[in-house]
Amino acid sequence: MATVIIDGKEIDVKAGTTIMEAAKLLDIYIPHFCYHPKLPIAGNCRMCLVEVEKMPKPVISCAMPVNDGMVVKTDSEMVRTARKGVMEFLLINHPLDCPVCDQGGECSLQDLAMKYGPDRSRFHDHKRHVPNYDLGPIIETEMNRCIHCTRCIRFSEDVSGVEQMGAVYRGDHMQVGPFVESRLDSELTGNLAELCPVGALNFKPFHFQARGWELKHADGICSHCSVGCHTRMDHLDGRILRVMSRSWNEGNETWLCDKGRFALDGLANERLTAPMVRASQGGELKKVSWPEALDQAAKILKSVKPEEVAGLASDAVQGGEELFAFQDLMRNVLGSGHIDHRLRQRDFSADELPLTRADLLMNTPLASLNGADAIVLVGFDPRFETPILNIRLRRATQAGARVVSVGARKLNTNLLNVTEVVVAPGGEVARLNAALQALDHDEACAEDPVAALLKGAKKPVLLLGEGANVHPEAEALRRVSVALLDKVGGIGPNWNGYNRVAARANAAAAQDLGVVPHRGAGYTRLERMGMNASQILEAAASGQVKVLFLLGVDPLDEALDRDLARRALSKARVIYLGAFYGSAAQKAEVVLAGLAPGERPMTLTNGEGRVQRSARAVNGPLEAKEDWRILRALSDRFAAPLGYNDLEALRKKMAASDHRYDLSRLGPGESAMACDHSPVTRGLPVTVSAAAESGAAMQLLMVSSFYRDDPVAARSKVMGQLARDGRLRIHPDDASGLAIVQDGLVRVLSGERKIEVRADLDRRVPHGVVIGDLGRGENATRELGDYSNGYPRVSLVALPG
Amino acid sequence: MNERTTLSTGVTPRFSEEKLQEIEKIFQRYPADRRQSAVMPILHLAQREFGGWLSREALDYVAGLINMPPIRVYEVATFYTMYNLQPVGRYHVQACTNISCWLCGSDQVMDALKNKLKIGVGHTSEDKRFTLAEVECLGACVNAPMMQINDDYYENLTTDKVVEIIDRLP
Ligand code: SF4
Ligand code: SF4
Ligand code: FES
Ligand code: FES
Repeated sequence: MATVIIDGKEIDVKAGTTIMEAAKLLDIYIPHFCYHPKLPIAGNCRMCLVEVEKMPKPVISCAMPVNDGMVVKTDSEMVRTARKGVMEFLLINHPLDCPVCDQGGECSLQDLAMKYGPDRSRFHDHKRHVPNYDLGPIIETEMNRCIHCTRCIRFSEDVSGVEQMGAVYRGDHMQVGPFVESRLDSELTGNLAELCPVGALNFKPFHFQARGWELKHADGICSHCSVGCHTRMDHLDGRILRVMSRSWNEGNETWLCDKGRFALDGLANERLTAPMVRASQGGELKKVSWPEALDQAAKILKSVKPEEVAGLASDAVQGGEELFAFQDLMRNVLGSGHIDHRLRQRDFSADELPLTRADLLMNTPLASLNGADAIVLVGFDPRFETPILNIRLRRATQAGARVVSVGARKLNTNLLNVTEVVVAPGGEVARLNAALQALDHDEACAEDPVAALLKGAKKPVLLLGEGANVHPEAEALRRVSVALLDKVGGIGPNWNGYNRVAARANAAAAQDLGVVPHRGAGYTRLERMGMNASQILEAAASGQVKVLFLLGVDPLDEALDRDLARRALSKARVIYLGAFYGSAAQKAEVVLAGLAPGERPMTLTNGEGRVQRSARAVNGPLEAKEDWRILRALSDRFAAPLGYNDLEALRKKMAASDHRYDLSRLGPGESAMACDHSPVTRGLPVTVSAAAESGAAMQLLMVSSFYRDDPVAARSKVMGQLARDGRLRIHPDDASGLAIVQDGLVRVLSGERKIEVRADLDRRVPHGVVIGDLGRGENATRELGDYSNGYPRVSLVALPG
Repeated sequence: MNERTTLSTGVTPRFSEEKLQEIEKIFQRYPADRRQSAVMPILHLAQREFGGWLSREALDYVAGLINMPPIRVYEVATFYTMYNLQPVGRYHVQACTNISCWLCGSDQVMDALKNKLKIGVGHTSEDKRFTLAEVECLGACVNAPMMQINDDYYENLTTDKVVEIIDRLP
């Protein structure tokens, strides 16, 4: 410990703390540009000079560690003179074009120049002029404004792991940028613009959209993946223009990924603005009043028996409020138990088991992932499923942790020390089981990469990703993962390394609040199990289910089997409640216009099980209404309406059914609750099916496209520029055998079904496998999908053109 | 010289087997986990091998050999003026204009060079024989003024001597 006195205030800090950080603890602001709490120290802007007693010259506080007894002055005459000098130099080459700079009004340089800058320049030479670069769809550059703080370079190197930014030439010829024009190949590029203290790096989608001081702010939670990053939605005139990060030490620190930041333009496309009803089969949708639409919906629902109604909900765009009200309505008002949100899951066998939250969500808090020393990824591509979680894993690997990734494809990863164990599609269970057996024998253990990694690890983590969750033997895979981790002591009261990471933002809330056929809200057991997502679609296609009630979900674009979804939607009568005029609304008889994230207060539960609240930033379009209120109003047309009339009452009801949704129980300083460390279902028998056979045909692996994975992102133009979706990835060797060329058209056939897509040759794809994005619309890979067949065998034909 | 970017030739040069062995030796001068330290000598070798200058492809090739991100190589190559990022003539004439040489008449030396070669500083003659450069102290102040042509120093220069030296070049 060291005791320091800063500006007359005394504080005890850990030895090694810098003066800057000690001052921060005292709420003393020291001007700075290059210092950033989450980046390595550079000490090159010199703005943070302070006076230390007994030192002859001012020192930079961001890099100077405190000493016991140090006396620091942050605002003495010496300090002010020094800062004025630094500022004069910084401004020599600065273009001073604040009036046309996006950063104007929220610029550190502008603010500090007001305090320390000279009122006129003594510099008579030419200012330097440096080139701009096109860094891709997110970042706009105006490099003349750069003050060489190197934050962007340190971020690229340290956090994003994509070293493309650098400083070339030297002295006053120094230029920051990639030198050779190139698009930044990272999912985290938006952070560069956020951390640039001046207007050198700006947001391209926000360029010239508004001035900082005109914007209003609302605190949000990102709804684009299960990390649940803390955001600030900046809005003006009813439009969200920009999403910035809010600092959250246990989660996103100060970062956001590009999807979380700029998928928002998708909110403005294909929106439903009023309720609509279709007068006759095949007729046009007509705008009607709310009572008419609700009457019509009620009429349809009443026209069939309760068990002939089924509900599907989106776990990507709906808040906990809607999810809770939806299952409440389905079960208690309409009397149907057929409700689900898992349209991409294949294996529902675990529904028979009393699984808990600890089985279904993450058990290692995000903040603790940095501390892991051994990381096993199972069917998980953390970088392109949960980018901010991936930063945590990267930090762990920077500290020496090793990674083994078990999956059917190689990853485009920025983690260090990675061993990739690529298995034939479906072979993960057998692979992990072999590791489990190997743990008993020293020799075998040394040879098995997974066993060798886990053996002796003190803080092992195992993360099941989307590839594991939608695995045809997901439950077997989950069990063997639990057993494996359990065997090496990775599941205990002090360290629980078992994590099932859902990709979707509110999948956890859907589980908690009972939007599943086998459990009620709060993990209550049900008398009778309803039908799961795949059964619901089958039953709708066969006519057994007569009415499909869809909450924010487009089965054509979400279900694994597009063909089945198509048959279901054309056979059943469809009521759609949601924000977008998508494939479901186009088929629906009644369309109830709901709201999208950012337009309503929402409860979002992240992958850790942390319950978080996102505020409303803007109003929805025209007559669209908050989704749960629509459900509430609809329930009025039935014998036992829903028992809540305002948001507070609804949230009380949610909290009563699952105490984790009672945020008033939190202590001071707690932001929300993570998962409780209750032990997962251990000791269940591990079942292994025969190893996946390999045949002559290619196997199709379907993955979701990160930048297009939810209804908002799918409609975003910016995401469209980032995604390379709709392509079929194939190994160049396999491709050349089939005369398939890069970007060439390929017909993919599986039984009766076929699609035509463009090829993308990629060495990361294993031999004998082709990888397609699940995709949307015609020719999406999901046309070939099918719930019972995990990895369809396909044949490929190269087409001209 | 144009400082804005590297020139791309569209062709990736390659070291010969022999030079690759030399590079292995260079790597051995540094600890195994510090291979990146070899970037400067390897760039130097590349410049010698690949026509006296480093094209973008040459820089990328070196980056690949050392397994470091290209931008880190660009940073090194642009920091030091002795890496040429533009093609140079067969003779790279580098005249020192730093203080000692200047006091002893480097201005006249420079003028003589410009007149003789008919090019300005930073330029290459049309026949690609000469590139003229102005450099800082090359450590031969005792015999100022001086210039360096490729690897050789020429000292105690006078305007006449300059012309003579240039004329004598093969
Ligand atoms: S571009 Fe911005 S962040 Fe990067 S060095 Fe320049 S001022 Fe700093
Ligand atoms: S990591 Fe996930 S939660 Fe965070 S900003 Fe990106 S999409 Fe949003
Ligand atoms: S903040 Fe200390 S030198 Fe830049
Ligand atoms: S000043 Fe010319 S060699 Fe030193």
